Amino acid sequence: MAIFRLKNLYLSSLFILLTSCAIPLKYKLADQRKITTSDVKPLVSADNTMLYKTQIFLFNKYYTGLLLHKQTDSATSHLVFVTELGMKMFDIQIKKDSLKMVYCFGPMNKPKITNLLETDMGSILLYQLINKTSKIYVNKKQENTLYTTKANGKKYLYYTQANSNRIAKSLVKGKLFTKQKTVYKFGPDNLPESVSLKHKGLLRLKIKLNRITTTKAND
Amino acid sequence: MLKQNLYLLFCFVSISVFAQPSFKTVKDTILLKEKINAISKETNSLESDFTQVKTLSMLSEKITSKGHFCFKKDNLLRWEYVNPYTYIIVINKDKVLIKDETKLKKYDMNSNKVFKEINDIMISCINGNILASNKFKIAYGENDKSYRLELTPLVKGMKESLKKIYMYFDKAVTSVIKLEMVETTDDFTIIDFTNKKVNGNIPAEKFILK
Repeated sequence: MAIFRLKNLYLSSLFILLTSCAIPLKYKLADQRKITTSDVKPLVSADNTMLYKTQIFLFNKYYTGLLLHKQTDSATSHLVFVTELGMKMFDIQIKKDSLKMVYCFGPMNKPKITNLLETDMGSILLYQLINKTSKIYVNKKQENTLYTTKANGKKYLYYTQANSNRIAKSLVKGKLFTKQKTVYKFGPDNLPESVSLKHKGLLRLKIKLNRITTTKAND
Repeated sequence: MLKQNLYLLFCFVSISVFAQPSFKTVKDTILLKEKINAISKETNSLESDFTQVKTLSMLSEKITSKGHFCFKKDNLLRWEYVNPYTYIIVINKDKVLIKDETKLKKYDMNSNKVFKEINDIMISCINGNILASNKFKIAYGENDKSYRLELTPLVKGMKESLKKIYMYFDKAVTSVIKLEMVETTDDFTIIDFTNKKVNGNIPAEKFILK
């Protein structure tokens, strides 16, 4: 009986290992090349300052505020999180697809937390896909595309909406399990209306973004 | 984060601002203190609309939000943002309540030393004891239009995030008209108060969140 259980355990582990990193069968490999902004619509652009009402659940802490993305020169942009009352919590500088925490408020300013925020914000903004070499899979039935990239022992999967270059969902997979899931919803103006990220594992993080339109913000 | 927010919040209770030309040192600070103490003593309730402009200096970007606040002696405060988002902080005696969209969080003031300290500062803003507080170094300035109190935080937790707080009073010292908070990163927040009502009737329900 014990041997039977052990065998089941091995088989189930093998099954998880094989399926966790597998591409769904309905997607067929079509190409492999560097992804550009003509393939996938970037979430942020140099023309627009984006402002999001933001909730961040980090371990057992709950932070709320506003997340602002602004281009400061042709190669640099910033992602700044401030509380509703105006206190700056963090400022991430984005330069040539690389994210660097340039300011982080005291209690949050720990390497594990700042690294987590850098990588997950980078993932939300599609920096693991755009300008990276990706395998491109097509699902003819659902008429959408799946892009996959690999970095730092993780596999990144980005699913587009049907007949669109907008990303609907992304997954980050480790060796055994899915570590992160992000869901994007777009508004009629073709800009992301809401983004929801859930990061599993020891470093638990949830981020919810809801866009505040410029017109509304300036009323 | 809540601690920092509350540090900012306590200032809002007694304050507001407008852009000013240069300020010279007040000669008769005793008279000014007496005036400030007098309005604090006479104020049993206060409500006002506010416009908050956050300036991120490095990005040259401003974030504007608007809302309404209510205060009632001894220890009731409601600070509410209505545009472009909804967010409410209520301090009801020993409770701190925060409603973010539909999510409600409750904190016990007495279970947390920081809350207790902030509450004490808030009350001292209302009753005028803030002028005698050892938590700030205060410099008094004036020009033709207003008085300005320059508060430099001395308390460790506050000093790490706030460089200066400026409180502006009209020349007749009837109320605080503007508040300016300068962070250690040189970002700053200006809050202008408008449509003030002093000693009006504020329903108790305003200080309850469900």
